[in-house]
Amino acid sequence: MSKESSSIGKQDRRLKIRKRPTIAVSAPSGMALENGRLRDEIERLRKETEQHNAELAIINKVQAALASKLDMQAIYDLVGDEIRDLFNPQSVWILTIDRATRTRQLKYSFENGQRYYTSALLPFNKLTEYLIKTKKPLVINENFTEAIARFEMASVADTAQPKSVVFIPLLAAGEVKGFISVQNIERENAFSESDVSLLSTFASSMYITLENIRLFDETQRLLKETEQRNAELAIINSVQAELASKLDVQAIYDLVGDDIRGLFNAQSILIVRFDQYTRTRQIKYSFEKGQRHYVSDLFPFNKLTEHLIATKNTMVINQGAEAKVAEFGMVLTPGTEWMKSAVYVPLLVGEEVKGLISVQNVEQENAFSESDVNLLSTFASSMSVALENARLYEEQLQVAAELKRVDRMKTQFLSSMSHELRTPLNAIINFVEMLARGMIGPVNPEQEELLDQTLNSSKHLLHLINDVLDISKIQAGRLSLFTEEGVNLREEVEAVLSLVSGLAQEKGLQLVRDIDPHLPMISCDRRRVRQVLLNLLSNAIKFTEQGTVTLSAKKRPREVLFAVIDTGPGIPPAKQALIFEPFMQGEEEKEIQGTGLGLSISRSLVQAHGGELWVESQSGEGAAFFFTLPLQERRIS
Amino acid sequence: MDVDYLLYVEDDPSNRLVMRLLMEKTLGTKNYTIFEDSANFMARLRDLPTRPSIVLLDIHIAPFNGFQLLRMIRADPVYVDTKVIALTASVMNEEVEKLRESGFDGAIGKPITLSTFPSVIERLLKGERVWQI
Repeated sequence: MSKESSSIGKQDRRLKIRKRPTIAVSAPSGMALENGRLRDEIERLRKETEQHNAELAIINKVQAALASKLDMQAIYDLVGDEIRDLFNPQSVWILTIDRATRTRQLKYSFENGQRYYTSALLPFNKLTEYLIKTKKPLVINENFTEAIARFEMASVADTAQPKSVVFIPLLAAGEVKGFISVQNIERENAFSESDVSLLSTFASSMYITLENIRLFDETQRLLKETEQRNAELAIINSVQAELASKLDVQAIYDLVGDDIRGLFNAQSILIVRFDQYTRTRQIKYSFEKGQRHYVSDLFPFNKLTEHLIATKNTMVINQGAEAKVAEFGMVLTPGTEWMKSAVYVPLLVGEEVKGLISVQNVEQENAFSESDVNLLSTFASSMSVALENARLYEEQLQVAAELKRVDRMKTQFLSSMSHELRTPLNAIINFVEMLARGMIGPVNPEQEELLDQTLNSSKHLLHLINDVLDISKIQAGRLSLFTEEGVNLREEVEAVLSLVSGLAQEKGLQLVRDIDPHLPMISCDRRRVRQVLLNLLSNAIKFTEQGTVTLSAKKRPREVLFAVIDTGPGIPPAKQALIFEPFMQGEEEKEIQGTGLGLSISRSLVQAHGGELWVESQSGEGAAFFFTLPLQERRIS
Repeated sequence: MDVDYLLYVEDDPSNRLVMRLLMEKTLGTKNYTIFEDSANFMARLRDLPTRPSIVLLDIHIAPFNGFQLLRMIRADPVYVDTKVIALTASVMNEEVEKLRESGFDGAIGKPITLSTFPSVIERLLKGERVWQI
């Protein structure tokens, strides 16, 4: 029926509602039976057509309303007004019934020529029960007084008793959801069968429309809720993002507290930290009576604290707050009032309750919905993570500070040890060297040999001290350069070559010079550059048994490239990274004298100058160590 | 080499002996004096038979340390041409930087390098600033 009407309605949108003409109830004349029959037939057809038109019109109007007014009351009003227009009755009611609460509610009421508005809920009466049971229209066209008694209807004050009444149940999915009542107070038998059938059609059309609107409203409500949740999610996301960057604990409390203020129907917000070791609570965030409060006092645990720690569960108080206050022995903060609703969410880190977040409403009960509780729990868990991060960060800072202190102590120790060792070494090395050179008196070859050995050992000891001091400074990040401008690299190269030429000669190695005649003047730590060159050259000589050791130095556009190339055993690629680690030497070269720190120090010294140091070698094909010094001084701090 | 006069302030006996031998065996001169401490320093400096052209100062010496002695010497215009050199066992760059900033004319690190000692002294006397640490 509704489907058909709906399609017709669409075709006849321009149909105007027509007033129902007063039904002529004239008795047919005996003389013109046929005429009378025909007249009756015409009248019936006319009535049918009019009914149909009216029906189409109301459905059309209702559908238009559905498109424009998405408000259920507007539909009740529309249908009520239509019924008034069509039937011209003295009284029209539209009621909905709620079977769960067994109540009726007047959605539309027209009486004594005017509309009445009421939101009162009326209990079911016998008539209601009857309509629910029969699911059929009830027509009382005469003897209404008897019907009042039968259905225990209360007579409405100040209204005339009707003479004819129709009750049409509103049916949805086979259930009675309400009814329409049309009343005539002037005469009995005011409503014909076709009136009843028309009203029934209206009722079913209206109910379908109302149901559609209800579904639409429900969808809107869900959509709105989803939007609300989305907005909350967005806030949580932004809070989480911001929390992730916060490593200051109080900043985390403030951020979360401030954000919660805007989200919950709460006058009071509290974030409390528990210390299970000292069994004390500390208020980290307090917002009450429209402003922040700062409390530094420590409070002992109370029953609520114990409860949250024991259960690890959220506690929601939406009713009976007074009893809970008594049960948990809570104490009122001076100047504040007891809440009517509250949520307490424990702050869990791992399995440990570290505190709580609480929102409280002092005005209403049932202030917090399940989704509020969920949202607050989300805040709590984000905050727990952030607090834990901050704690770990603080711990890390402490460890780092401690490590730095230990490192400083180590460097300080090495520095003073180096100082203390140099004074006696000044005597030892110089005395032995003077003796070995015969400056103090003649020495025989055997004595000279021993003195030379002593001198070498003493110098080795000195190198060891220097290297250990250097590496400790490098590792502490405290290596500083003693930079001079306009250092003549050629002079430095020559000085180092003269130092090692003797060593090369002793081993029968050829020391090859490949020095660019136009080496530029650069800014560098002269002593450190020499140290690197000396280290690379003495290593090359140390590890090469025959052949050559070449020192090359070339000017390139932005740097000077040094290379120390030997014809020694070479370094297998697998070991090439290891040789730059402190205290590393090739396994097979363990017997060779050295601290194993030289290359590590050299690389750090070159890097401190803004250059690079690297090795290129194949096992059995010699090794080539390269390093660069930039022409433009780049200080590495 | 013509070392007019050299003054060395050093509290360690064997280090004093090293200097004595260096002066006599490598520079071949007896024109030097060594103080074992820094007490009453300026008076003793003025009492020297000759105004020294070069003063080598151990830094960790008492009662006045090397920096204090440097300031005393610099404060007296009589010693405006005197080269004041730190002879130090503290070789960290920060410490050397401190020596430079304080106004030393150069520094020689311990242990002293026998082979280069005469040339370093020569360069210092010529007015070159040498930091042989």
